[in-house]
Amino acid sequence: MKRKLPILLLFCILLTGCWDQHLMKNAILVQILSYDLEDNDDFLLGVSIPIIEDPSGGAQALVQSETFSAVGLTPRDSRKKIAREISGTLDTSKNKLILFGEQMAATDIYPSLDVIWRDPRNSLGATLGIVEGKAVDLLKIKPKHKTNVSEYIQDALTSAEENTIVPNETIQTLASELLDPGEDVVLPYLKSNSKKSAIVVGLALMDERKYSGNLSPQDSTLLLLLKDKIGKYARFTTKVNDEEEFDINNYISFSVQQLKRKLKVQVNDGVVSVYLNLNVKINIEEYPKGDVPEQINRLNEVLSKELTTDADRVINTLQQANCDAFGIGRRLMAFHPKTWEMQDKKDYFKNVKFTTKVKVDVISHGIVM
Amino acid sequence: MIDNLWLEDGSLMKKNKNKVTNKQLVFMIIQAQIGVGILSLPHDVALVAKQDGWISTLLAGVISQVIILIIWGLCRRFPSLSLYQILPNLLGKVLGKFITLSYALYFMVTGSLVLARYSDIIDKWILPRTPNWITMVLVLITCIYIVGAGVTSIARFYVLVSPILFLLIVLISYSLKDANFLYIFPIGGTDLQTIFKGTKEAAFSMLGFELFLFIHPFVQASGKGKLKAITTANIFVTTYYTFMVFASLVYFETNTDIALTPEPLLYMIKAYSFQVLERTDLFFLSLWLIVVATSIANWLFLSAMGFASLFKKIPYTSFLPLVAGIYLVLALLPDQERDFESFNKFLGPSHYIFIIMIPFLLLIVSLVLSKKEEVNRG
Repeated sequence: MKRKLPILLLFCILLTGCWDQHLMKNAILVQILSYDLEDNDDFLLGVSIPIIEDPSGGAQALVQSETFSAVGLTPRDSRKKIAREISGTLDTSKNKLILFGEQMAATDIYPSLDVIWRDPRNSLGATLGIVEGKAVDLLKIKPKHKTNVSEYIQDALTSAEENTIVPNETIQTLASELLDPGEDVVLPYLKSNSKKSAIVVGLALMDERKYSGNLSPQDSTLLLLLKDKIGKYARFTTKVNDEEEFDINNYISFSVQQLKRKLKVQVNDGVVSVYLNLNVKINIEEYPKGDVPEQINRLNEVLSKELTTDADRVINTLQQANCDAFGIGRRLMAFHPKTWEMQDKKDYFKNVKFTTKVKVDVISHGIVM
Repeated sequence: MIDNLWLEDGSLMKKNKNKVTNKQLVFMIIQAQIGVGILSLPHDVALVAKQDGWISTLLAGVISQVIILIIWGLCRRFPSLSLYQILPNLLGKVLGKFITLSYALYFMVTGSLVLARYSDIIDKWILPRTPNWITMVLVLITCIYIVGAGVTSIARFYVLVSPILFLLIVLISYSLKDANFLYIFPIGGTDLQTIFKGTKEAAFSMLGFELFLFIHPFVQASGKGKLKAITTANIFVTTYYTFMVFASLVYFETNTDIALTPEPLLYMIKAYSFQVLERTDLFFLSLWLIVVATSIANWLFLSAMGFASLFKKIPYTSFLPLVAGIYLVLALLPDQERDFESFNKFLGPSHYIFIIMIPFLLLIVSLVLSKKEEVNRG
């Protein structure tokens, strides 16, 4: 007993309390953050927090959400102001999404993210998105079938990820690409639809840390295929006929089953040329005109041509936005460091010559001909 | 057998009670080498050597192998004497005792720095509001307990906790799914001088093999067997470090991003959450504490042994609470990043002196005087 006494005493001192406890009952978990710039250049932070209503009558707890916003100097400054407005501690450790308003994104998204990387309690698993107009307005929508806005928007993004419209990225994987002078990121582009629903309308293209253009959903899918980043499904609808009277018969819908991409960077006399070859094997999901096996060669040809034109258009848009989504600059740094030295570090991507070729192979056509 | 012949010195306990097998030696050296430094190693190396940091790390392993050969050469001439007994034997009583004291103090300062860096990481990553002395006291108590149990127990404990090292490999390999392997090209893009500068940074994380100087008499193996064991440990650690540095280099952009993250490996782990585990870094750090504790225990052991060998007939265990107390005070001194830097500046040259110079000079002295332990093979 005599020898155990000091140990017991030590237990009393050391095990009685904890300085770093965060009780869930006091925490207000933030699920979405929004960053906006007001017209007078003030910073506006919006947070969406779930409110769990007691299941007094029904069996299931009803989760609703509420949106708070505050103007401040920086994200942390605004957060302090919001914290004064609500009861409990604002906790961003479970944050899943950070949305930027268009105006904010057009300046520089990097500085406002510093706090996310710096505070150890923040979640690096969150993803980023850009919203047409004001981001905080997207948090204020009242979707009919779901009462919790943050969950609703996240579900919309997850399904867009599955359908290869937006890439699967987190704030940590984006960090390196944002900081890399030889690569640019693409982010989900969302918009609110008459204050009722949120839709993913494709990809926002970033020029370094600035928002500089966007792509339609179908072009986004194509870009992700060209980047060799296919999600669960990748679906397209294209016009393949002209002569049909009934317009619906002119179209074909297909999904990509297999994908092979080749990207080659060549340097000749300081001119950078990129050869981008994409081989896709597709399954036809909808073709009202019917009789696929008969036309298979023609379809392969028409679709290859069609997608090559689309790819050219996508790359053209990228070059206009100066968004090096393929990381061509990084490849130059890695394999042609001397050429990279000579390049204009900012606008090099605009001078890259692309030769793109998409080859389509129909491999299946559902359970009818 | 060479049992108990050297026991007149009295500062060490009976040898037959403190046996370490050759396999245990491998783990002891590994645990002594891998400690708190690895979490920041990729950052330190990449700051200097950029995308070639992994080459620097490999070279650091080669350099430590050279030092290991010197250390082993010295130990082979005195197979049953630890460095604390070799010193007075070769240099005479006064000078020997003086250098022994310097070694004890050197280990004390190094150990305190490790303790301070450990508590700094805990403070930054897990427990920002808990006073630092609490975390330090807790780990010191554990270390006193481990070290007080004797060399055999230390060795067994080190073997027991080694699987934790593989956890880091698993977690880091998982995060490689988001790596961009283009970041390490062009290989050798920086010049040789830069790579060597990076080696200097990496070399400090390799320290720990000097433990061999002090525990080799306890190891039950031939001279060659010991060399094999210590080389195995060094190869493992070098490969381990090189993998970690390589993984961080392909995960983070090598110019700006990795310079912004002082603990790249923790960052890589933090970014992923699993079904039931949101912040993997917390889970990992709480296990990693044990690996750090083993290196602190290691330095505690060496400095306590040093003090004990200055006095006759006092077992080193009696010194543990006192030495640990000094560790705590020293570790509480630096509380800014700048303090760590000045701490390191002070320690930098002493590493060279104590790990390379002194063993090397001792080896030369023993060769020149052709002094060597008379082994009585009975």
